[in-house]
Amino acid sequence: MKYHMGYLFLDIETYVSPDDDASGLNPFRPASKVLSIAYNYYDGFKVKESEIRKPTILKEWEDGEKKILTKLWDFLRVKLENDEHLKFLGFNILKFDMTYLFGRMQVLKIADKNEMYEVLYRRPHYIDLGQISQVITKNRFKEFLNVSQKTTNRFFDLPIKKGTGKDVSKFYDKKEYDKILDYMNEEFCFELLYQKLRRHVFAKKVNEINEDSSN
Amino acid sequence: MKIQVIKESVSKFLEKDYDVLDLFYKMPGDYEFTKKEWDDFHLVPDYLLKYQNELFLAFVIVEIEEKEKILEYIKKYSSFLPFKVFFVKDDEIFEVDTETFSKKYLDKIKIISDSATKTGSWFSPKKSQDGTWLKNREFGKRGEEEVIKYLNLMKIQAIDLNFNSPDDERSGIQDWRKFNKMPDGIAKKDDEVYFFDAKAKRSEKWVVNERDYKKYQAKMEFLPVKIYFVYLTYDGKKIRKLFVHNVNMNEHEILFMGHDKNKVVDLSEEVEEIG
Repeated sequence: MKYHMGYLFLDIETYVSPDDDASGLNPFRPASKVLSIAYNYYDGFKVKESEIRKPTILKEWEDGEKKILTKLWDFLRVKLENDEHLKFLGFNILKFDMTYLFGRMQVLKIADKNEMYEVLYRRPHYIDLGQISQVITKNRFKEFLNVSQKTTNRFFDLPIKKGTGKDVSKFYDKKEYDKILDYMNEEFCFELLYQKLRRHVFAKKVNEINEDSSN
Repeated sequence: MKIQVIKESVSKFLEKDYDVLDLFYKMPGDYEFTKKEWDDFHLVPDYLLKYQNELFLAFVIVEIEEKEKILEYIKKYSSFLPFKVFFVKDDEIFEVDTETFSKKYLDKIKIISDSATKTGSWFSPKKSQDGTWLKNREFGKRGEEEVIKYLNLMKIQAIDLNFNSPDDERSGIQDWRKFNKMPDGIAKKDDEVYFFDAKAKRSEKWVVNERDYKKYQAKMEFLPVKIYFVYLTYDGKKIRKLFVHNVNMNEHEILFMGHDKNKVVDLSEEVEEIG
């Protein structure tokens, strides 16, 4: 059954400890923790707008960190069995989400390191929307300065999430879990963002071709 | 048919001491089966019993010679739940030790007469009588196969509760009220034991017939229930996606689906994509 060329959109929230800001970015700090994992898989050759749905959200406050990481691990293994062209997509997913997950999975011994590397890095393909988003900025240092998801969403008239990842940790400390879910659902508009970025890049390309041919 | 009557009677008898969930086959009509058809039935425990917080899977036997296959079965699935075996001879019931197979007399048992178990009139809805039902059944079977494949991949052990009865291949079942539709199986993952049932779908709709959902909820008295939504390609040959829902007592939105405005429970907010 190896006919899929699917898309997996993925996003995580991590714990930023009041005593150690780095815990939200570095998976190996004592207070580091994955709080929630949101994902959505589409098995078609293209993501159709009519098929976009709310993501699955795994919650640390319901199952514990080890269990949600195991659930994600199991899911990825099954998906890669059936879809050898699977693409992982997210905003800044290469630098942040996947490295943090890889680190936490090592700390919690979710699987053998060699197998983890295969499933998380070697077998899937990647499309990092954060990197593609550099095309929208007019900053002359655009290769170095990352564009935020808020800036990108604003550019494409997509809903802009309120608050930041740090707020999520505050909600978590106060057990305001519904607020975390609202934040995640608001942030999770990667399917539309991907479509808009593709159209934008291709339109630019067509413009360039037209300009070249008219010269 | 005699064994069905005995199982019904034992169920009534056990109700004195346990909460009893019948798992055994109940013939949904006035059918005659060949010996081969009876032999093709899967071995399935007859009851799930609950005594305070303790659960047991149980068999009832009428021939002590049946012990070999029962013991083999118990050995295979002993990590799920403890087993009990009851032996009925004439009008006496014994509990059988699953280690030594020695019998302990329990009581006299009243065997309910065959006629008392009949409903009097048949209940056979029109939609169960045309060929669509059989096609849907086949599609449903594909969903079950994919769930079993998934459980195997995850190294989750499962007890199959499907009887493999001739009813699987007949349309126009005479009496649906007697059809003992159980979830597809019992699974064990780490320390969690749960019922599971597969729902095969062609499109992404996370809905379950309201009547079925209430039956799932009733089973939660014994074990948690998970519904696996299996999305297959239109021809049913390949799996596209797999989701799971944990049955619960939350309030769910009720929708009215299809031309007959079938009442269904919307579970779209409570599903997890797992494969």
